[in-house]
Amino acid sequence: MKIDPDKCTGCGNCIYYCPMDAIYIEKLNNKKVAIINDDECVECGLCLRMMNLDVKIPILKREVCPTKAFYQNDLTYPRILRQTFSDPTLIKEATEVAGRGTEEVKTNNVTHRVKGDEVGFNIELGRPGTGTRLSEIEKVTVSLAGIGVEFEPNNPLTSLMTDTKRGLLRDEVKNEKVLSAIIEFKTTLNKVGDILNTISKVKVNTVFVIGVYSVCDNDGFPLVQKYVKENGFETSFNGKVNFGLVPT
Amino acid sequence: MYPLSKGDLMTHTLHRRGKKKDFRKDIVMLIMSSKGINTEGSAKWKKEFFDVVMENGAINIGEGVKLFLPSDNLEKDKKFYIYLRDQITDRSNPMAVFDDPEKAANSLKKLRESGNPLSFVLSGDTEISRGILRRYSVNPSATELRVIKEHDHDGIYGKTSLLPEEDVLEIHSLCGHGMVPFSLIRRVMTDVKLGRISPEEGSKILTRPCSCGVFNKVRAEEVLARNKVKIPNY
Repeated sequence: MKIDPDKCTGCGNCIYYCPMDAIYIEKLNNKKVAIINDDECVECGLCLRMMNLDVKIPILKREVCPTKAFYQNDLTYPRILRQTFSDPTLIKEATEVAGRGTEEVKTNNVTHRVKGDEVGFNIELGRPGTGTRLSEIEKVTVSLAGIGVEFEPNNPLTSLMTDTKRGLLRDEVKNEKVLSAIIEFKTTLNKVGDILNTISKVKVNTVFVIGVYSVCDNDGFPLVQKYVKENGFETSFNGKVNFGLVPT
Repeated sequence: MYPLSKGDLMTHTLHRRGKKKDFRKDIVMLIMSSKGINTEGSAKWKKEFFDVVMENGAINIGEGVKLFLPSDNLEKDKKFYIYLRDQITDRSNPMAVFDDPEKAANSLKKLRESGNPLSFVLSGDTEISRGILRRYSVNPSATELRVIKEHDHDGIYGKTSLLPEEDVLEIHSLCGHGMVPFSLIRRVMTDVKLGRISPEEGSKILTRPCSCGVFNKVRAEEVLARNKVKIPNY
């Protein structure tokens, strides 16, 4: 993402519309202008979308960018990966990665992606709101690979691995920063403890959240809940419940 | 003008934050077809979903593939609903947000009566979701939960010193893609606290960056109204 310094008036409204706080105001040739810190920008495109809305924001008294100074420059590999993982409006076929992730729990009633003794994991790094370098994600994938996890093949992160058995990412992508990315895999319920104990101890310079899913018992409770608790962890009271309204 | 851009959207509602009581006003419902199984011809069922959730008082809706500037007032903005409904194709994954479990339950009742064959997700307090399903003798097929460790930041791992105040996090979590920046939330909170804008106006501002349709403006408004964030000097 770029800002045209000739159009920018340095009003600073756009600063509030950068999830990575990557926009700042600086004096350039005696004129205040907004600058994007390229290293921190994750190419999510929010600034541009908000500019294109053309809507006055009450607290700012005007539009996000009244002079239309933002523009999307051409992105090449590996920088384009930032956009791939961070911009939800992107059509992913156009990028260097394969797969979009699975439908995970959402359609399990017809796909049977996880069966009776299985558990699905979604570990999202960079969420909430901090973003992450891909090198931080590799720390987690390497730890998981070390205990025999097999990563979901239809997932963008997996396609960036040079060695899925060791969880290693391509060297040239490691410094790229993304808003968030999800490590996806499934395994058997008896491995829940090993996995949780491993990932909760990995030291990373970002934050992450863990989602687990399984089929439900006859009372409607997911089988995985018991395995999580047995290993000293708790589950949230909120969650995503999948079902069909007609028998399949 | 509603459309923003074409996309390939999957939203994430699992990590919404708040107290259990807050989730009585936050029920997200999704309808999905599965690639290679029942996607073909699914648009008519997805359109039916849209009609039903609108009839039953959804407070936000999304088409699930394309992003849109959310409506400021869904109840009155019928043009928005009609426009969005027209965009639904077999690839769409429509979603709706309710601020009352009864509204979600009534929607499901209607969808069940019509024999809608697609997959559904209720995202929210699982006790509420199970209760709704029990009424119609529907057993959950599968459930996804967050994993929480005692003494951690309520289910957030890693370098939690990077995180903002809980109120800011709570509002941020209401967008499925994390598109509502911490800095915007803080700014709106400050302006509400200083009486420059109302919580309702603040909530509208915060709804806009989230264009997938799962932001809950009712909950955001409540957080703004109880705003406890220290006012920064600027």
